[in-house]
Amino acid sequence: MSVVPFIVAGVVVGALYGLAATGLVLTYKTSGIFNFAHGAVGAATAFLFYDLRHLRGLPWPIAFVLSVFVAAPVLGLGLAAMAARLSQAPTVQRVVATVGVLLVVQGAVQLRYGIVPIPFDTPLPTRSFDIGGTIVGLDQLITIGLAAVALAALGVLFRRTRLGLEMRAVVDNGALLDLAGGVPARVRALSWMLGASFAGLSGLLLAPTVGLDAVLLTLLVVQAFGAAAVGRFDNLRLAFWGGVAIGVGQYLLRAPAVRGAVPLIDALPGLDQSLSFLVLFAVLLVAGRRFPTFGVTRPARGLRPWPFPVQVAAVLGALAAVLTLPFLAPSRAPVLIQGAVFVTIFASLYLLVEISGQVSLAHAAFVAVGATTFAHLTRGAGLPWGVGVLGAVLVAVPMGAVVAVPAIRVSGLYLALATLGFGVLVEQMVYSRPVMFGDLGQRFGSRPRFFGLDSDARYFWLCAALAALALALVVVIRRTRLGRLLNAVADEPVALATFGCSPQVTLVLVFCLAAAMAALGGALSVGVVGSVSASGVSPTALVSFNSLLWVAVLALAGRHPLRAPVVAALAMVVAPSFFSSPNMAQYLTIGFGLAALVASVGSGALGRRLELRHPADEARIRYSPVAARLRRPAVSSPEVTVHA
Amino acid sequence: MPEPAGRGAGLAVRGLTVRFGGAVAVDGLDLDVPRGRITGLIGPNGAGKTTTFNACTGLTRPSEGMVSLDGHDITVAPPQQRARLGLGRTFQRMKLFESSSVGTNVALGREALMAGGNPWRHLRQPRRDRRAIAAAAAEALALCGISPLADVPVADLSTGQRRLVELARVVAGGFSLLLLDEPSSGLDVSETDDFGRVLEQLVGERGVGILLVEHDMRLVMSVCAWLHVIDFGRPIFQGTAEETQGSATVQAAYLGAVA
Ligand SMILES: Nc1ncnc2c1ncn2[C@@H]1O[C@H](COP(=O)(O)OP(=O)(O)OP(=O)(O)O)[C@@H](O)[C@H]1O
Ligand SMILES: [Mg+2]
Repeated sequence: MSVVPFIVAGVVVGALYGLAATGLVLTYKTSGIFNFAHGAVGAATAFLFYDLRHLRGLPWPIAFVLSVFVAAPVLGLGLAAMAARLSQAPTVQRVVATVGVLLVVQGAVQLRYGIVPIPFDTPLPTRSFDIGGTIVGLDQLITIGLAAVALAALGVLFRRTRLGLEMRAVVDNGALLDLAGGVPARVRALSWMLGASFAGLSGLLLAPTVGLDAVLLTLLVVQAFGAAAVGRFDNLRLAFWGGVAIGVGQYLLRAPAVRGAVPLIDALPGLDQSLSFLVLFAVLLVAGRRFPTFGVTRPARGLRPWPFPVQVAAVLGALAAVLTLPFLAPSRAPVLIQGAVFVTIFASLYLLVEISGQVSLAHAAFVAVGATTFAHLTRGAGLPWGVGVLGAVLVAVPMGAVVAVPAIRVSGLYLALATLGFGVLVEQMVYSRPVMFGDLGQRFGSRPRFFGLDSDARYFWLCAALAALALALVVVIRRTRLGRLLNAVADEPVALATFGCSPQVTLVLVFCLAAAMAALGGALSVGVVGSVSASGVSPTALVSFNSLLWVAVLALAGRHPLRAPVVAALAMVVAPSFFSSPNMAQYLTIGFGLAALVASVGSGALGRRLELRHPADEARIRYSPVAARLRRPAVSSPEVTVHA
Repeated sequence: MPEPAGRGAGLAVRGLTVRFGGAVAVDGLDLDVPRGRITGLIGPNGAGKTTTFNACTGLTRPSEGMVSLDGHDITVAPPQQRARLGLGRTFQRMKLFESSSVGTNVALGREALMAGGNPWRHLRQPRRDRRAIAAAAAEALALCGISPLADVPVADLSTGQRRLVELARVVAGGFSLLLLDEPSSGLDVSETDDFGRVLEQLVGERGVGILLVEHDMRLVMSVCAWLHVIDFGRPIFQGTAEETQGSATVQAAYLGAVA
């Protein structure tokens, strides 16, 4: 069979990735906010079309216009307003804000339409033609046509209208953009409306390939991240062609002729789906240093410690709770154990995000590696519990070092994207392999059998004790040399290097440490119910999507090294068990998403309560070097003719 | 023109050229920064002074030319290795560790060097180190007159105070050669005079060498023993402060920049 039909199909899908990528880069360049919710916008638009067309019976052109040209741009306007408020915000806050949108949109779609994928036929006519021996569908031609029309419209806008010219001036500006005053609000608003429309069109036309599944569709549009990377997050045209190239590459990897010629492809199942993330990871690794960066990258922190008596009371209270809980609520034992495990996991995330300023979106992968390694060593190889835990921790260390490599090369948003790419790659390409979860997607293991630690109460105490150790480790690190160096790496890695410390070493250390702690959590989590699985919809499931959720939840939980991980675990794992609803996972996703959104951008009463920024940060932003430079009067030309 | 420095001692720059795409930021620059005196590097805005610093400290790869420190060729060495050889710098666009206090910032100037590239030394902090760090930080803070600010978060400082923290941090590092990029901008007149005395003290008592980039000509003329003037990346003059003030070439360059 010839490869031509695969190339045609690849071009069609690739044009849609390219369209989405164009919209993504457009919004990023005009606002400095990278839209993690871009895929969710696409998915939501497709669902809306389905609702209007199939559930309400509107004629398809009306449904099409309402979803792609009305609903999506309105959502875009909302995002533009959000982006405007984030223009000076630190990276974590920028990432968490659009992740919040992603969570809300995705949760809402799942709540409304369920989590079972809905088959969705293309709304386009599917007659096919024979063009020079290749069968081409009319829908394929129309799809390419629509993408071309959208791009042509953008081109006309750029060339023929005032607003478009202004927009192009912003987009073409390769230099660092000072967003505080740089971009006119109308340019930003229009960009976000266009960006959302492009995402919507792309989501709608991609939907027939996977059916209406909120998660899959989001992930499909997120392929645009790889294309945007090809366009260096900077160049619209390159981003579009990057999308086409990724689409063609994906379909070529599926073509029997290619697979026959390159046997390696069959040895790497999932490579086609993951191609975009591979590209994202690789491009950031190789060239990420030269991509545009925006604004302040790190908040300053002002920690107000509790008064000493309150601290003592809190510690004693926590101790009493840990000791008595298993007896007070024996039926909730699994939830409590899982909660304790997640304190360890959140502590390791805190080490990266808060102390080191590294937004890592691959945490679920670290936990999964720990869990499966533990299962292999104990249930698989029959080794003792302790050896299993130790092995899990040790195996995660080199993995942490691997993720540290992008951290050495890039920081801020690009690190977040590189780690996201890494997490998705591991999930799509390694989870299903025998080294991890295997074909069945599940591994088994048990609790330690000595000292009666396999009882619920005692296993809970064990996990709580290890969580306390993890927290103590974080506190100790903060106070010692490593903590100071990590803070310095987060603030000014370049300055640190000019003072003789190798930031690479510091970063590798913290990623190894965090990976090891996360893997410890993973190993312990196997003992909660005796198994661990590769998929799931609960907030604790080890899917890469949850890495985003965890970062958002931790950011919401505050920045105190002891309180934040505990509060995050209580809120995400323990509290939900008190409510019983079949849609709990969706409510949680929406709830955390909303909270993350409000916390990042809100300035009202609720926003202040949840604020990710400390009031002192405002002062810091005011006094930041950038602001200082703006305040500094232009250096008048110095006089050389001063007479001594 | 007299050759100002002994060969091999201190920082030596030969034929340094830095291009950004097509633009030439530094073009065939020769510099000598010996220890025990203050050398000035002046020129109009955009002349290439900061770019020269970046090339000397390993933040920008030179297109051509050579940088050496006490005879070691460091043209392509990473920044941390240059620091370990005794080269320290401040930044025109200040790069303070924003989330830390003044004291921690200054102490990190020394601690970063001790941690170096050794993972073990990142984790361990022997008591001897801690004492050395505390002593170096206290001395640097006192020298720069900001001891009372030690516990203040750097984010709460004025621009002038932040400049002094930058200086104190590099002083605490114990480097034998300092590259200072507009260290006095943001200071008022009396603070600038104090600042000049601090520099002279560093040179007189510790014998360090300083390369000073500064737009405040009063300060430059009063402390620099030797001046290099560059314009559009090219060296246009070098000499003592007096010779420089009298030079028609230099005046033309600055007047050209005004026009
Ligand atoms: N990273 C860069 N990419 C492109 N051009 C650059 C870069 N850094 C500096 N330049 C250019 O090189 C030239 C020299 O800049 P440099 O900052 O070294 O000047 P300067 O002498 O320090 O000026 P000032 O007195 O304003 O600090 C300028 O024209 C500047 O625009
Ligand atoms: Mg400069």
